[in-house]
Amino acid sequence: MMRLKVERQGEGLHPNEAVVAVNTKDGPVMMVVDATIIFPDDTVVIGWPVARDQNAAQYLVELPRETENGAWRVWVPEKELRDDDERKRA
Amino acid sequence: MILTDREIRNSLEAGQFDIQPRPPTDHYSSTTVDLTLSHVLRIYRAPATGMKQAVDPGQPGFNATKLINSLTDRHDIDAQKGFDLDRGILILGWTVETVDVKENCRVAARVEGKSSLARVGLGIHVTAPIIHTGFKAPIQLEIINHGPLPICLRRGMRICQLVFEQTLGMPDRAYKGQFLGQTAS
Repeated sequence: MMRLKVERQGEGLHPNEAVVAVNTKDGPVMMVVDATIIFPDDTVVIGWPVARDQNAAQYLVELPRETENGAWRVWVPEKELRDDDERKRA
Repeated sequence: MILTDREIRNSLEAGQFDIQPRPPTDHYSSTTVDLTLSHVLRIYRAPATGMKQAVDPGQPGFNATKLINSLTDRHDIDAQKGFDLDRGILILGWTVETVDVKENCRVAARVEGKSSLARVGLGIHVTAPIIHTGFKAPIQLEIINHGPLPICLRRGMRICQLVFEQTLGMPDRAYKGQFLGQTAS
């Protein structure tokens, strides 16, 4: 599994929720997640990328929640991703 | 295929998906499991008289949470009195239980209302019932009273039910390297 970097923006509507920003190739998008799914290094599990562009510089990932503007899948730069399995082995 | 009560419990034990805290035995039916209402609500403030307001979700930069935050107040359901939901009013609520649907579990879930509540006019979602794989959170409910009388909501009451459905295969996000050698258009 892989993890995606997020930036905490604030609290959600419920005490358990956090608003986070994801840096996509088109700029930051916001989504609300349960705060407990955010790892201490500010990443969330996204499974595996579902596509990549021709230069492998951008990956299409499915987010754990729908973004504020209704998208489930977004293109993100490779640098926004972490390999969870690599982290476990380290 | 819809999972039966036995299959739901087996899947919970196998760790394919999780519900915390685990629902008691009497919260199951043959094909559903009931979830309960958290004490936290978000209630929309009434707009001022003479003020014209419209939500514009198509606008670039639309942020539903920010908007709802600015239009609602948190309300904690009184442990003794409950909360009377007036006719025609939409509020937001959450389940007590956190639902965790793993990426590779070949299951998706759907949150549905309960007929006992539906008969008095209580709806608990507005056309968005699907719980996708990878979801892990309490379920947010869009609660609306369509009935003829106010309805008292109480913390911990059975508010909705979950239906688990087996998917045909796993989604792309569950496969490592499934797109190797391919490129997106």
